[in-house]
Amino acid sequence: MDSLSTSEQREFQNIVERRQMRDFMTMYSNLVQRCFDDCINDFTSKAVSTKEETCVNRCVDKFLKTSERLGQRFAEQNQAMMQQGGMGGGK
Amino acid sequence: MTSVSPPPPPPPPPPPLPPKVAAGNPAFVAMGLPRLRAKLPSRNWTIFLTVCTAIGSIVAYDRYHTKLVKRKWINLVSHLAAQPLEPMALPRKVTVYLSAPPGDGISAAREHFRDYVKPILNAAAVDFDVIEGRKMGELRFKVAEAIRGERRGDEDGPVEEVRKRAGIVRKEEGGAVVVGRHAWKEYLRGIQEGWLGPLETPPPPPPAPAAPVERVEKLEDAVAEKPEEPVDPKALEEEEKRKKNAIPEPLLKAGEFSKAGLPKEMPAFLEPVGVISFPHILGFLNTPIRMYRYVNRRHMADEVCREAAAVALGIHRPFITAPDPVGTLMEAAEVEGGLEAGKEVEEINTLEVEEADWPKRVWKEEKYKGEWTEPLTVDTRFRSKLRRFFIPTDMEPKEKQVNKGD
Repeated sequence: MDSLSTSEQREFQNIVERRQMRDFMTMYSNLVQRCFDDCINDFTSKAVSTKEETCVNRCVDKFLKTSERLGQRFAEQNQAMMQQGGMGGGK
Repeated sequence: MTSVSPPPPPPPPPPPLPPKVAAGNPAFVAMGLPRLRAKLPSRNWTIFLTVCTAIGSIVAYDRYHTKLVKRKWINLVSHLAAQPLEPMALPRKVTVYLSAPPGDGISAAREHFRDYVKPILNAAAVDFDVIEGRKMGELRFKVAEAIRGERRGDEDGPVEEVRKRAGIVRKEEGGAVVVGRHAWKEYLRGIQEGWLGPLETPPPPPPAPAAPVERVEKLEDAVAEKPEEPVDPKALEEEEKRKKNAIPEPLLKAGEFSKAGLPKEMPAFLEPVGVISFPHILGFLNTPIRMYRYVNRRHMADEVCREAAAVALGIHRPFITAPDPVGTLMEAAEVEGGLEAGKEVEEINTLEVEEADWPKRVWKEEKYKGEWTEPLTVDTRFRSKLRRFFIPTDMEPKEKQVNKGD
């Protein structure tokens, strides 16, 4: 990061931000897709029933918690792989 | 004139017909079953089918009840898996110690663990790490090395580092699962060596001083040097290989445990342990015993799964040891015997029956002299620190009520 000049750093920041935004939107759409498919099954009524409402709440909750946990596990394994790769490359 | 011959004698009545034989097997007819054309099998076939069915049903009965037994213990612990876990929390983790039984390979131990212990641990969502030992002494070395690493304060691996940084910590106490008496002996040696022994391998002693060299010079005149040279390179190679694969010598021998001092960082209690029985017998002449065990796995499964469920539940207590012989009034001989560090009593000396299964060569051959053949000894200071998992009486599984009539 220090090798880039200020304008380049800003560019980098922008790219990273846009990437993160995109990932966030993808995750959001996955979440909506999944929870809608699993929770809302009855289209005889327009209103969202209490059962469906609860289901949706739980779905979002679990999805986000799982995503957080998966991210943590991924970071750990990534670190392990990088260390191994670093050691293997260093040899 | 017509001679009146006597009328011809009436034709003899037709002989009485034999009673009508009913079509179909008389046995079926007698039972009132439809008159099929089927035949019952012959005597020989009957014998054959009876024997086959008997053997098959004995085995099937045993396997069915083994499954029921496993299910019973799984149901006892499955409530643990349903408990919620925060996203940044880690489940409970135990360490499993497997060692190849004497005379066999590590697969025997692995399969025993996989078939009877692992389903219970999985049902309770208890994570586990397996540490294996292929030869005698390997498990002891790994256990001792792990403890020494902990005492030294060695760096954890990358995964642990990331977790520490993120502040993720395992809240629940872990534990150890030791499968088999041979592994139990090695485990006990290992923890004592790890805690009582030195942290670093002492430097090798200087090569043998000049004294032997002088003697060799004198003997050289008498003994010809010929056999040495052609054998040399091969023998050296083999020695090298053996040295590389050899398990390092223990840093503290068992005889010196009582002399060594407890380190400052010694915890008050060691990790609780579950000792799993691992019946394992080899030998052609032992075939009847093996056949009996083959059709009685349900009893073995009950014992093993009970221990595994105790580990999964996580409740532990100290080992029951005999009361201190010095305090009570005992005969002189008994007191002497009890004061020997060698005698180990009660629960720590569990699974002694397994030693009868070990092949005889373990007791005779030189290469098996060591952890397995020596009696199980635990230093007095450690006896109170060891803890074992158990199932409290109120958590025992309820036996199904069998209605035997009034």
